[in-house]
Amino acid sequence: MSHAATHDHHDDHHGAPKNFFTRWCMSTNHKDIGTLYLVFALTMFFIGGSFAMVIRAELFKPGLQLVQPYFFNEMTTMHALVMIFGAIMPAFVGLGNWMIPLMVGAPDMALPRMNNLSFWILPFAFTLLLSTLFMAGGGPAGGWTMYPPLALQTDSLAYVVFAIHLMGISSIMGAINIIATILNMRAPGMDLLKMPVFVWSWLITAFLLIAVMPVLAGAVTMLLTDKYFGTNFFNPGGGGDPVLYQHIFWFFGHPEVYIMILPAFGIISEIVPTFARKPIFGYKAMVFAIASIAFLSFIVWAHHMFAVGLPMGAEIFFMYATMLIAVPTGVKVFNWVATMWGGSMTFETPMLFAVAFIILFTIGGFSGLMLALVPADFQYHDTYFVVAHFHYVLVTGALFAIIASTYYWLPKWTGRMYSEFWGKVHFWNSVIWVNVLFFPQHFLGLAGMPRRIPDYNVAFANFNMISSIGGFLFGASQLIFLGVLIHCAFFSKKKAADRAWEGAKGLEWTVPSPAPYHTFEVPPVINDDELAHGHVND
Amino acid sequence: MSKTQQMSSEQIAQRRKGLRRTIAILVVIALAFYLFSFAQILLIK
Repeated sequence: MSHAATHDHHDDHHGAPKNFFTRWCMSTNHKDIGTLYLVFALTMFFIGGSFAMVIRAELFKPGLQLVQPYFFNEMTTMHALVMIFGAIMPAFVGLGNWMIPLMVGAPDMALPRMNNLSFWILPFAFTLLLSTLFMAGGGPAGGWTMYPPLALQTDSLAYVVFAIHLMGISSIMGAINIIATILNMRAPGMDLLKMPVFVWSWLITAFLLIAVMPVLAGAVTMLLTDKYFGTNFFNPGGGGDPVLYQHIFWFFGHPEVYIMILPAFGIISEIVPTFARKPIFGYKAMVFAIASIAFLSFIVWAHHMFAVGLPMGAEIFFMYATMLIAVPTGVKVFNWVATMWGGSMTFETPMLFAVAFIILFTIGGFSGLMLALVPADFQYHDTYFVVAHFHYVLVTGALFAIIASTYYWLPKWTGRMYSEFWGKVHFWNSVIWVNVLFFPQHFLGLAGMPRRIPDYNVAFANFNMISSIGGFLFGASQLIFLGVLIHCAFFSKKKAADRAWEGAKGLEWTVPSPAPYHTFEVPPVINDDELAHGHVND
Repeated sequence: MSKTQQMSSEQIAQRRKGLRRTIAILVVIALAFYLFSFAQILLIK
């Protein structure tokens, strides 16, 4: 490449490879790899969702009717592992892969072959993880947090740990790729403070991933050595302490939940301005808020451990630090609302999901603030109140943002418009049933129903039945989404314009729909007026 | 429609150098955090 200035001629690899194996298994194209991640995430979403259906079916009525307790515990453990590491995270990586090079005017990611490896590790890792369900001793059943000593009783622990190591390696390599791309591959003229907020959110999330995925790897390595190699990291008899695992795990675990929400914030910051036909209110504040949330996420981990017997000074510190995160988060919510204020609004499906995100994620945030209060958390800890909180922020938060972004960018990916009618049917079903599913769980937690139990006191029966009905119908309504996607990708006759949405701004809307296999092989000229945030520093 | 701009060999060489430096730093950070998780045991005890 030493001779090369970039030049615009037809290479012998013009267009997608014709051979299926070459194109999909040996891909070095950010669009195809993005598609692979998204299809994988959708598949894992339905698998993890089916585990949730088993859980809600057993909890429909009090008593043990349908499954054995160990299997129920496998379902709760695997539901979380699959949804967190197999659905939400890969979906965001897929969206990042597809959109970041387009948004910054880069021809592809910085390390295209490592990008391919990052993806293909995941199907292998999840095959390994899910195969433990069929092994003699069963799969992991001690909760996705894998606290020792319970987790050390898992017969298949070695396979679980190996699978988690692989997922971590995939995430770390993906994050390195994203940072390297954003810092080095932007088109000349695409300054950092002109980038879309989604790109900023991924830049910051990638730093979180590089910092904390190795810590998870360390924690599960120590579990492995405690079980198989005679160490005593978490064994009091040998001088260790189970609480040490909790510290290491949650030092990973808390930034992990911000890893799952920061790209969602970026997505909402792309969609709302488009459908309000107004620039985002307070672009710099939005970027700064994401960075503040990321920084603060490192110093709050022990709010997951308020009930283990921490010193009071530590509990007070972590309480205040946790409450502090609500401030930049609140800035973001106010700015999204301010963006809509005085806007010329229309409510296509992406905007419907984005508005639902703003309202319902905020509800999840309120229950989070309640959990942050140490004496209150003594009551809520390990109850369904916690389950309600994190499902509000993850399902009506992260998942709704992923769905919104899929509807938003589907015309760019496929070149066709999805069915707006069925999109709205999907939206209204999702929003209604998700609240029927999770809102009663606040009351269950307040009434004292513990987590991770297959049978419960008959006093909790009514709200459990309501929640289960919501669960079945929410699960069923996601099949509408599958139908919309398949129809759009293969059967829709409605062609999408390059700029599929009237109010959309940014480089990704300057390339054709569907986006060609190779884009920006020669860097585009950056015209500040065409960007969503071209004049921030004026 | 965006027009295109040419990049010189120097800009491309600078990109390549920046890329390698970025990756080296990030790999070091990842390794440091992995080792830190073990050190955390000693620090907290």
